[in-house]
Amino acid sequence: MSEHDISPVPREARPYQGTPAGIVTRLIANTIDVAVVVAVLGAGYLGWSALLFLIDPRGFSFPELSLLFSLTAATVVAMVYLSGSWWLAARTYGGHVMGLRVHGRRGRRLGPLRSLARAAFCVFFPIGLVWCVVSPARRSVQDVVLWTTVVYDWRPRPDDGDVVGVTPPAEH
Amino acid sequence: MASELARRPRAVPVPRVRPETQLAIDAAVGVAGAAVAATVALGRAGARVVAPVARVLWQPPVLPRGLQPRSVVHAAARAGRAERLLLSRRLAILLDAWTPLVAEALVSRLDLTRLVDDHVDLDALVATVDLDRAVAMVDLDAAVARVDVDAVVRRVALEAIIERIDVDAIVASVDLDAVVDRIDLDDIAGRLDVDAVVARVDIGAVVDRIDLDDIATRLDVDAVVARVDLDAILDRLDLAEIVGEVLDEIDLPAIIRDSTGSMASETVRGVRMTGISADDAISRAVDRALFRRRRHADRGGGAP
Repeated sequence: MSEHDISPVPREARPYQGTPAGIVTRLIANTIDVAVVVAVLGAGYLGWSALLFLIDPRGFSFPELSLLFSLTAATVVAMVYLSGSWWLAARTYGGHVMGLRVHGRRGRRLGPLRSLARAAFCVFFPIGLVWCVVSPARRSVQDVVLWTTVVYDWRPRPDDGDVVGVTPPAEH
Repeated sequence: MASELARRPRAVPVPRVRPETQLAIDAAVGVAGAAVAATVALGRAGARVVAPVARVLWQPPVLPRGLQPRSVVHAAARAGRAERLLLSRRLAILLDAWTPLVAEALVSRLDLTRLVDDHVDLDALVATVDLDRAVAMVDLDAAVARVDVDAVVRRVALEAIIERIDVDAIVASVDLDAVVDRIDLDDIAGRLDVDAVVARVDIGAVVDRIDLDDIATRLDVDAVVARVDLDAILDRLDLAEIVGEVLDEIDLPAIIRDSTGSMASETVRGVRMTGISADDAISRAVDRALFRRRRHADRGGGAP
């Protein structure tokens, strides 16, 4: 960022832009993402119930879903939501709220496969996030394995496929 | 002076002659004339008769040349001529010596002014003089060169002259327009050392005497601005740099955020900054626990 570039980022946050995000911010973002997934599941459940009501109003009752179905649905929704967000927008809604962005090698946005792999990794091994606490480059296990980085990026609409200034990773 | 020159000379009284006297004089003159005529006629007749004899007697062949009357007379004439010349020179010397004395004695006893006034027609005399030719013959340069101007000026009472000059009348009679028309202002301006003139001007004093408020009220600012080439001025400005400096000063992003609230409200911004601070705090704690040196030194300023 040159000296006179116009930036919507507040001055106090500009020094952090492009640097790896810490555990607290990422946890908040993930919590928001979980809430989004829960909201989607809830909306799906209500929609499904509304459909059943329309089909048989007299015999309507809220459907009872099995745990396996619920977990499967939650997993699918979470993976679709996360992978789609990272692939298409480089950030989930939680990341958008907290000003985070996920990028790959050389600062480029993740491809569909790597987005899907990272989403699966996060869904099935969420504890891997804790590794960013002890990682000098604030990388989670998913980041280390898939060679991604989560950085502060408060810009509302980063250019597609752009390369942002990032701190070089200290570990791989 | 002209009137004096034009004055007519006084009439000189002429003595009157009586008619009898005039008749006697005229008769005497007539007789004398007749006698002279008769004498001349007789002389011419006698000469015609005597001439051959006289020539023989003037140069008698029987006498040697040196004893002939002609030779004797010529010798006497030569001696007489020499004597005449000698006498003439002596007479000239005497005249040179005596004439001034006599003239002085005469002039001192005469009223020359009166004589000239009475007998000389000065107007006629002056009319005969070709003044133009006389002036043309005068070598004024040589005459002026011989004049000691400094001495003349020292003897002039300038103050008295100046007091007698009516400067107002002189100036009023001058046709300044004609004088100005004959002045070559371009030539004068070309010779003028403007820098030297300006260096001698007390700009501060000049400015103090100027009523800037009055000038400003009379100034047609619209007309002045209309004549300004704004495009040329803008071309010379580095607008990008100016805009950048202005944006740095006014924090335009903050204004945009305050006006639109599009990206992050104050609450979201606070949550984000709190998260960043918490991240840094945890990282510092972990670094201390692991005896690790501080990370993210390139973040600039560290955690707020």
